[in-house]
Amino acid sequence: MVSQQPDFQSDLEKVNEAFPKIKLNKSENVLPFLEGKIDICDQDGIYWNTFEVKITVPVDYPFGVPRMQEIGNQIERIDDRHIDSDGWCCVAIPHVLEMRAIRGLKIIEYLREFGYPYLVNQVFFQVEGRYAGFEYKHGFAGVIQFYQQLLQTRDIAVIARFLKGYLDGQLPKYLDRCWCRSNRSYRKCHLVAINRLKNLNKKRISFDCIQFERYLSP
Amino acid sequence: MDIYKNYLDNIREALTMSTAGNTLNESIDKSFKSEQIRLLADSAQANPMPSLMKLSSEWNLQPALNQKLGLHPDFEYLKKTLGFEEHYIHSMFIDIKRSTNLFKRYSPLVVAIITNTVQRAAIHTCMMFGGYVHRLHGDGTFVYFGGRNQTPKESIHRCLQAASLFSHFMKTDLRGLFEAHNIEPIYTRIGIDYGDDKHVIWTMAGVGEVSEVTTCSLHTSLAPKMQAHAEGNGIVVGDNILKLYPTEFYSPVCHRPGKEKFRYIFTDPDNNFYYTQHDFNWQKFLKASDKIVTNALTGEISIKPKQVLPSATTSALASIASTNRPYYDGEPTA
Repeated sequence: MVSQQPDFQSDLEKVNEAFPKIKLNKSENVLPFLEGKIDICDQDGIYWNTFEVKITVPVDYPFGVPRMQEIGNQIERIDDRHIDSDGWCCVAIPHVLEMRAIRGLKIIEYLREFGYPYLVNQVFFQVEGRYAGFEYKHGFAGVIQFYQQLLQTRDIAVIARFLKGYLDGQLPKYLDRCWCRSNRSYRKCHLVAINRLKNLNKKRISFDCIQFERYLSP
Repeated sequence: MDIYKNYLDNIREALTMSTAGNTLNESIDKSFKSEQIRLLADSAQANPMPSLMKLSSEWNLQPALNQKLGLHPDFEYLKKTLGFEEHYIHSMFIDIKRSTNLFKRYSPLVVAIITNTVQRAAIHTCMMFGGYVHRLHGDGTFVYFGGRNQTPKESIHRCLQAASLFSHFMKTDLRGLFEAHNIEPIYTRIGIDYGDDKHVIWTMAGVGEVSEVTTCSLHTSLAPKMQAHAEGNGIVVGDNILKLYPTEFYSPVCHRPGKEKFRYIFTDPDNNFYYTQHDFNWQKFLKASDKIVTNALTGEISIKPKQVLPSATTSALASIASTNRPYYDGEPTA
C-alpha cells in the first residue's frame, strides 16, 4: 500500500509544511488520495484565493502521475478553463507529466511544479481574462504543438515520420541526411531531439503516431 | 503578522531611538527622552492597538474590553457574598523570558517600553478572544478563558487561538526585529489547563480591599507549572484540554528527546492519578485554520483577508502562473 511506505510518509510531511490544509484520506476500499484546501498567494505573499481540491495518488507512486480535481466549483467547467465537467484539472499536457514522472514525481513536486501554478494561472485568468503564459491548444492540436516543441520542427509530416521511425527502430543513420530536409547530417540535426522520445511512454507515442497518420491522410 | 504592526512599530521606534539617543547634545537627548516617554504611554493603552483591533471584525470576535484585574465579571458578585461557585475555567499562564538581558544594552525606560509593549500585546490578544486577565506577576500574565455564556469547547478554541497568535508574534515578528538589532530574542512560554465544574471553585481570596475573586483548582495551579516545561515560544497543555478539544496537534512533553521524566505534571499514586502534559503544536494549529493563509512558496502565514486587497496587481501572480502550460484533452467545442 502506497500510503504506508516510509518515503510516502516523509513526502506527506513536506506536503503538510507547504500545504497544511491538505490531508491524506485513507478511506477503506478506495485508493489513498489527498484532500483539502490550497491558499493562493502571489510572489509578494499577497493572498488571492483558496481552492478546494482532491489529489489522487497513483498506484505506481512516485513513477505515476497524480491527478488534481477541483471540488469547490470555483473554476467554471468549460474547455477554456482546462478543466472537465467533473473538475479534473488539465494542469499540463499528459506527455509532459509522464516525462516528468519517469524521474519520479512526488506529490509535493507535482503540487509545486504543476498543481499550484495551474491554480495561480486560474486566478490570473479570473482577473485578466487570459492566461499568463503559453497555453496548449485543445485536443490533438495541442499534441502537435507538444511534438513541434520537443522535436524542434513545425513540419507535421516530419514529426509523424520520426515517431514511426522511432517506434519501428528505423531512424536515419548518424551520417545520413536528416529527414527534416535541412541538408545536415542526422547526428548534427535531429538526433538529440529524437533522443528525448526515450522519456516518453511507447504506448503514448504509438497512440499519437496513429493520430498523426489519421491527421495526414487525405 | 500585520495584526501586531502597531506593537512592533512601538518597539522598533524605541530601539532605534535608543541607538540614536546617546549623543553629547543635551537638548537632542532630552527630545529623545520625551519621545520615549510618549512611547511608554502608547504601550499603556487600555484597548488593543488598531492593527490588532481589526481582527475583531475580520474574525467576528467579541473582545472582553474594559476589564479590572482579578475580577472576572461573571463571578464579581462573590466579592460581596463571600460564598463560592463551582464553574469550569481555562487557566493560561504566559511568561516572558530573557527580558533581563535587555538591561545590558538599554536604559530602564527603553526596557520598560519593550517589556510593557510585549506584555500588552499578550493582554490585548487575550482580550480580543474573550479572555480575562486575572493577575500580573512581573513578566508573567495569568488569564482566564470561559464564563457563564460560553461552552468550555468554545472558550478553549479561543484560548488556543489567542495563545497561538501571540506565540507566532514572539517567534516570528519580534524575533526578526530583535535579530535585526543584534539583540538576543526574548521568548514566551505558555501553560494552559482546563478544570471542569466539579474541579474548580470560584471564591474571594484576601481581605477587604486587599482581595480578588479567584479560582481554587488543581488545574489553575498546574498552568504555571506546565509553562515551565514549555520550549521557547512553546505551549504546554494539560490532559484535560486534550480530552475536551481533541486534535492532531498534541504530543506528550516526554516525546521531546530525553524528557521522559516530564511525562506527568502531577501524580497522586495513592489515588492512581497521573496527569499528563502535552506540547501543543500551535504552528500546525494556525496553519490548519481557515482563517489563516499559508504561503506555499515561503511557508509564512498571515491572517486571511475577507477580500483580495484592492492594491494587489496580477504582475506578482504572473511570475508563478506563467510556469503553467495548461492543456485540455478534448477537441474544442463550438
